[in-house]
Amino acid sequence: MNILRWHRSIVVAAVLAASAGCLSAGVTLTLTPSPDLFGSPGSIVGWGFTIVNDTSYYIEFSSSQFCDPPIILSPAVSCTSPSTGAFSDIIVGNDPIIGPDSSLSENFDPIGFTTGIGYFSIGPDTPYLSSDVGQIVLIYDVYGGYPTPDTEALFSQPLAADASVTTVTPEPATAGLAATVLPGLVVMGLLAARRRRSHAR
Amino acid sequence: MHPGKLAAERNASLRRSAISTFLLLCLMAGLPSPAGSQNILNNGGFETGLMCYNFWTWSYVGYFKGDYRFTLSSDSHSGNYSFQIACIPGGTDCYRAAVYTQEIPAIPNQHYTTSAWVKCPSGGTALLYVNSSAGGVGGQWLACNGIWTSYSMNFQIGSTATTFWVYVYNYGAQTLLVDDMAVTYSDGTAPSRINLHPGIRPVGIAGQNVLVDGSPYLALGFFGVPRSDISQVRATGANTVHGLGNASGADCFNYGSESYLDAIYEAGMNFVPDSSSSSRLDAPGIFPTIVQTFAPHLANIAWFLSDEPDLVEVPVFEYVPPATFVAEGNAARSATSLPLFADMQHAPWSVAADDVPYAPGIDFWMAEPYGPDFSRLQHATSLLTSIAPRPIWLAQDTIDASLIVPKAYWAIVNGATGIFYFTWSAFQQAPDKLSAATQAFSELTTLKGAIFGSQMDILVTPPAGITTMSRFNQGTAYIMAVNPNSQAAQGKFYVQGMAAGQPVQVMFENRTLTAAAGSFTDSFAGVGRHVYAITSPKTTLAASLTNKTGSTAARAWSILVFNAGIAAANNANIANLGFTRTGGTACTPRVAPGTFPLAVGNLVPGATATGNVVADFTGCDSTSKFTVAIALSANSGATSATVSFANQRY
Repeated sequence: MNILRWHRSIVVAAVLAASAGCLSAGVTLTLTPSPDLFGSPGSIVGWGFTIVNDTSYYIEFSSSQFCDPPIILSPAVSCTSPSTGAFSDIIVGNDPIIGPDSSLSENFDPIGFTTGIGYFSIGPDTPYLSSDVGQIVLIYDVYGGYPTPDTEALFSQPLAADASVTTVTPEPATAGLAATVLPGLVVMGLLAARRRRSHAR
Repeated sequence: MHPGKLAAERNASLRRSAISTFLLLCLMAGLPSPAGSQNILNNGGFETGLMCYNFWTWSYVGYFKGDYRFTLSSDSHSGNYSFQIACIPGGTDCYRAAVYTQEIPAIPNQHYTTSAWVKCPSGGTALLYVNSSAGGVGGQWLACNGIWTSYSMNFQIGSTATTFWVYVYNYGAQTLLVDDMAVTYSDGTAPSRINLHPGIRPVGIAGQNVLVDGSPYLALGFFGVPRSDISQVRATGANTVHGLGNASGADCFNYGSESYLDAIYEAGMNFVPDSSSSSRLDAPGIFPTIVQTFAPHLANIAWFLSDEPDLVEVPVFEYVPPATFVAEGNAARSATSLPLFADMQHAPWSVAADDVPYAPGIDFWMAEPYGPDFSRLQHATSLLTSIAPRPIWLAQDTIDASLIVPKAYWAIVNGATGIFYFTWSAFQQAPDKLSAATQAFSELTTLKGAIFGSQMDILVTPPAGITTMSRFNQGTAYIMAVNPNSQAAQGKFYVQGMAAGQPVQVMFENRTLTAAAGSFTDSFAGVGRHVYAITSPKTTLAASLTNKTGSTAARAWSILVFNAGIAAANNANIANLGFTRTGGTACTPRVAPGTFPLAVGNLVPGATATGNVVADFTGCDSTSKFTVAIALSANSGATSATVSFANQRY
């Protein structure tokens, strides 16, 4: 680390230390339109989000997951994987960078899976009314400026919001539709997500 | 707690009947005092204040009232001090007051002589009086004449008496000085002082633990144990006797054989001497002499400086001003290495500000959250820890027998490392409560290794209303759980890294539960405790990136490794750090060959360690982004994990 970077780090660290409490309270996650989702076996459900960064720093996400309890957020995230399906990330792959005193909102894109925080693929054999009740946990890095190696990640923080997925019986009128359309949507969505990530690289 | 009050109440009826009988019979005598080498009392001259004595007053208006004050006077018959009982100027509530010895072990049918030098104004009245566990023995009026005068009295102990007390009473508003009290056999001889185990135990404080002989100490015992009951107390599983009380502690009396402290030590127990009564004399200067006299014995593991010094509501008897208390503590520290502690009466119910001024005077805390309300105990431990995180020992009383065991656990899970029941005689007279205390001692002694094991509270989340303490010791995870409420409780205990099907042994109940993934379920019928023991064959590793420093060519990434499961992670290491570029200018980070595995040590559950991996990012620029995969391993590969972080810049 050169002298200038070292000096800047000291200054930023001091500022952060003075405002650490504010910083941790200054980033919030809200799942939209609801944290509690319902879907039939084999279906995919997902969450939109609003993230408010009410700090003077940039934040960038490095990890997302759905956690069943017990959940530990510090000193490192550790939790139990969901039992009724699997969570797939969207937000980290999109790599949004949220600047100081700003926010970002996205609806969940149920077709292409291009926007939102992530989606949950309910296992095809999941019993009705079974559920995973836990949290969406993000990890983000905090930067003193727009993220580059020069601005340095000052530290990482977890960000969590309660979430649940409950497996329900499809409505009789829509059961047939779900049986034929949903698998197709899933395939399309996965392909779209793959294309999107490929572009990102 | 105030043992003086109990003792006074217990003996009041005996005194009343005996005094009237003996007052007429006793004759004034002027025999020389045998104060000197021939004395059963080890503080006859009050040079160590009221060590081995207590005081009491009889007020016109009630207990703990009156205008008497008790101090040391430099007007002495010999030595530096005499003991003074005086009425404050203008005081109107000075009916009667006394200084009296703690319980002196008695030889049945033995003839004794007691004597004292007394100085009180001509025309005044005082009384030398002896009481015993078998009833009043005798008394003698002391005719005050304004000069130091010696008085003595012969008496015989009854055939059933095991202990006796010697009192000097003062009557009215006069000032009474007492010095050179003595008790001998009737021939003027006294047993010699024998101290078979002199020395200083290595005792210290480490965080919130008292260390005795280098190990964390779980103090379990009683207040007020007479010498005759030492073996019975030991049989309960107690390991410590608290000296507070009227029960011949602190090497106060000469036996001619092993001392009280010798008997404690040889029974495999330890002792804490008490200087409460001396603490109220406002004479910090005597404390070096006190501890030099009474601390050097291998039975002693701490020094109880004062009982309820913060009880401002009861001046004279309990309250010690903070400045005096701190001065006493500093004076004592100058002459002993034993840690000092005191019982803060306000802690279970009041505010921290009440006890903050006392903190500098002692090294660890005691509180007395008596009664069936468990919230008072939690209030006390939280308050004292908020003032200064030190070891906490608690005094407990004779609550309903069914609550004694859960409340003992409640003390432990709230951070206490010592439990003393008040008093031994109260428990001795209640077999169900003594049985419960014995059970608590037995279980907690079994769990001592767990109680002082590695903290893993972060890995356990109890059901609502249940408080737990989770520790790891010798390959087993222990969860001590208490329901402090009378309402039944049931729910899931979430345990990080617990595998489905894992057996959970419920100790002391002969039950075994079977866990689900990450949790197990149990219930409480009401106030109660469960102790879960889990021996897991595997653990869980997690990691986080905590820092990146250094030049582009030698960039050090700090990786925190976290044992997030309930088994040990031995020889934990960072097995690899893999970089996948996800954006920006193409480049290939390189880690020097031989870097992996990077050892971070042995991690108990809940523990962390950091390893630094140095990578060469030459060729990368500010646009280069990576997903880094951190491979972790422990237990010779039996435990492994990979943790990934995206959008990482070098």
